[in-house]
Amino acid sequence: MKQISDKYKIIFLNKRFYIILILLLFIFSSFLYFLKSYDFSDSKIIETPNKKFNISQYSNESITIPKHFEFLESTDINDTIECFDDINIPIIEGAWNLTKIELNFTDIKMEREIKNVEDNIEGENSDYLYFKNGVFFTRGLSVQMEILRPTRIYGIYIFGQHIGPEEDITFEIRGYNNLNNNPNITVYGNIELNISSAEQWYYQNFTSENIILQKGNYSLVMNGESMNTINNAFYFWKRNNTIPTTYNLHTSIFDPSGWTDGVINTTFLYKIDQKILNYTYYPKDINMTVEFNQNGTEHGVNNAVGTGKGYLQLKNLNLPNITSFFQIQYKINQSIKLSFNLSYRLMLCRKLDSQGELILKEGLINTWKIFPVFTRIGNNYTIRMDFSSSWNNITVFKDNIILLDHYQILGNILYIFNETITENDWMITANSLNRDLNIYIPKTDFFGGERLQFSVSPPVINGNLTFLLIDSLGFEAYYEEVTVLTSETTFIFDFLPKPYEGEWIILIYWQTNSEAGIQSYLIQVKIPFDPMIIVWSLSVVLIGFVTVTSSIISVKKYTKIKKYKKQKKTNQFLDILKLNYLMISERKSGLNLYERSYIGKNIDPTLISGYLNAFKIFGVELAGSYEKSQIAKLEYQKIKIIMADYKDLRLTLIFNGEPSNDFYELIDSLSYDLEDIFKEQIKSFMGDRRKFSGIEDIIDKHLNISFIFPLKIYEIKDYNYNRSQIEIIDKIKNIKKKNNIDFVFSSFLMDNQNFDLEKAEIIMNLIKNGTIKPIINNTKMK
Amino acid sequence: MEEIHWIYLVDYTGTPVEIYLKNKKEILRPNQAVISNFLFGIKEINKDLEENKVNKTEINDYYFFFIEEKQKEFFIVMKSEKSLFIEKFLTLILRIKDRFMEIFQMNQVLAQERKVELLKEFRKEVKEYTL
Repeated sequence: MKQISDKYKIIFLNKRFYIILILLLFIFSSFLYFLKSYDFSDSKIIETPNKKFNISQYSNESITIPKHFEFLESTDINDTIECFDDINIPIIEGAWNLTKIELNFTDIKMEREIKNVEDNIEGENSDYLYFKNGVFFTRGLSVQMEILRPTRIYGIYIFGQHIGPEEDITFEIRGYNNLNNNPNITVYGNIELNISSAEQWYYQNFTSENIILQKGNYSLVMNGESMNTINNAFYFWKRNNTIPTTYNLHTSIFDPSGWTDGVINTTFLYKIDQKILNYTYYPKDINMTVEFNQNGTEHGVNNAVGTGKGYLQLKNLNLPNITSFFQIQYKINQSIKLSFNLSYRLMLCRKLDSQGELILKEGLINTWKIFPVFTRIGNNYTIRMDFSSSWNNITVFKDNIILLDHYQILGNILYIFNETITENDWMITANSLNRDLNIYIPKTDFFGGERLQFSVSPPVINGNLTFLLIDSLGFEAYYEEVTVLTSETTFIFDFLPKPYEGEWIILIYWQTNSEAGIQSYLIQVKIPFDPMIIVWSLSVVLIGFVTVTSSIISVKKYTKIKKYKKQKKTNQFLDILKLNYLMISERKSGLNLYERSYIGKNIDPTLISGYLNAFKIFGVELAGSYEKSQIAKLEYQKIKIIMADYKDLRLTLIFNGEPSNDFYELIDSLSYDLEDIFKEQIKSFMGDRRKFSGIEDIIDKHLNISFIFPLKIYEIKDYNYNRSQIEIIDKIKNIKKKNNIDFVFSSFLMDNQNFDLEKAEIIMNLIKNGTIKPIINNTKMK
Repeated sequence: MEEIHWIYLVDYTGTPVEIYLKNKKEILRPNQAVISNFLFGIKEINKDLEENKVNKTEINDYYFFFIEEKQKEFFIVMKSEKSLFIEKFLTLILRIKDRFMEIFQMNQVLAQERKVELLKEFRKEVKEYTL
């Protein structure tokens, strides 16, 4: 401790030193200020008449500004494909707009499909094959399968699980007994059951069996005839006994009495991999529609001439953002899958960005150059560029040779056509006038520390203005680019107190995507003397150093205190969660004035007496001071017993685990409070506990015992709960609803039974504001 | 059974004894102080349960299966992820309770050290059940 205080003393002395030093510097600098008030310089600023300057050309350099230009490319994509599912037409890289589409369908017929008969995996109902003994077993599970047209069966999906040793179980497609609604002996297909220990869908593959079923009822059977020995094997098949997807299908089980009569709407989960045979369709008959890229708009497909044919044509479409694949999803009003041939033509367009440049030089016309990269895509590929009316002399180059045909200029639009577009080096050039920028500069001679201010009024309120200041050595001293938002733009530059002396150049240029202008001016710059710079720089460095040092010390100290406080709070909650029992007795007489078990089971006081006796036999571990209090601890297996003697009271606590050292402070403060509040009652205590009403509240105030009681929720109407509180309230309601109980424990609200201080504090806040109330008398709990 | 996180046995003094803890990084060992309060909470909400019956409680998207042995004054709590086939959990917890009774009923008068050894062996046995 002494070392720490010495350390702080040194820091304190250092701080004082720095403060004195800064004050001295301040006084010195003030003195210098008076000195500075006297003008040492013989130089005089030459005032320039307040008039507008003529344009003067001082810059011979040309300036090249990178630019982006926009083209519109358009193309057609067409092909004929065979379709079995949703159609995905590959689109060449980039995002396109679809403007027109033509679709022709031919040979529309039925395709192989997965038919969901029952696939609701929610709920907890299932049945299983097992063999307990010759009297208790289930050797067969069966469900009805309805076939409406001649159908080929490729396979059946069932949802199930296998636990325990392997048995020889088969999966069968059988005939159907219409009298008892259970399987008959005709077997159409028989394979080894495919199932394992994970709860999931399993495919029973009948592809090699080539099963074609005519219209009628059939049975799907999980057959466990071979289960004759006791070996704890279970084969589960999940079923839906709530609201069925397909109504009135019968299920049956094979138990010691044989196949039971079929019952409806408890269907085992299954899906059929099937193909309905020999059936073709007109689009209108099955209400066939198509949707593009799942945009929510369905377009009906028209019948064409001939069986199984249809078409769709849509003009003036504007479907944006077509990338990678253009999806055509078809829908029909029947739960079957189709196959068909599709001839399509998509007309697409998109913007194409190209790099280019603007070349500016004072006194010359502006030159615009564009370097597009064209890649011919699809058919009928065309490029279009809309250019400004201020441009003239438009020239198209292909591999540095002027293009003479296969392009056209109509008004201000340039078209380049499919025939000529190949992946060559392209360049498009144009010229425009170098526009006057109407610049106003009040004076041309400046001293260091002075302000340069001037205004620029470009021909139109658009584009960017750039101010470039070049010093007397020819280097860039300042650069500023602003967007033109008003008719007049003002630029300001404050010269450093000691700038380079001599002639400086102001260069201003303005540019939009179609027009530009450039102008320059010459100004004279001189240096005045200023001794203040050194002093102030030194002061700033010292102040910064002192501030940073103090901040680091404060932050470290604050972090340490915060961490300690958090740990202390956490310990308090964890200690109380370990508390199993509390007994408060009068020290001299040994009579109990309060006792409480927190584990839902009353502990026999004689058991406690036995523990206390054990103190004497096995010895005690003493802590604290005899003058103030005496605390003794005893361990019995995982149970910790603490007996704390105070002036008039003895507190006996039983813990499930070791409480933290902080807990002793809590019971100290509790005992002092109790001895103070119930001073008279303790003195005259002869066994009448009624005198100690309110003791539970005092214990709760010190130990937060309400945290371990069952908690009931009483939500306060119109109370402004914060998000964390709402989360806790919702969690409580959820647990109550799911378990049909009207209380919860705080530990239920900790994720994965790990303590969370933030959650614990929210719970305590909700207890304090009355939203959650602990149930002290647990006999009323549901 | 991958879905089971842990199984605890709680004796009449309120001491939770770990029977099984899934050996995976994502299953954190629960805080001992919280688990003590938590297990008694589970017991409180299932307090009217008949002996040898298993009850299921849902908290924070997990199942908690609870069974009490009133004669020996202990109870077993098992935490699992939600599953579509709960029958397997019911069978397992009953099997664990019966096996525990079988081992410790027969060895009532053994020394504490021997009981600790038996508990160790019992844990290994339970681990095999959960495979």
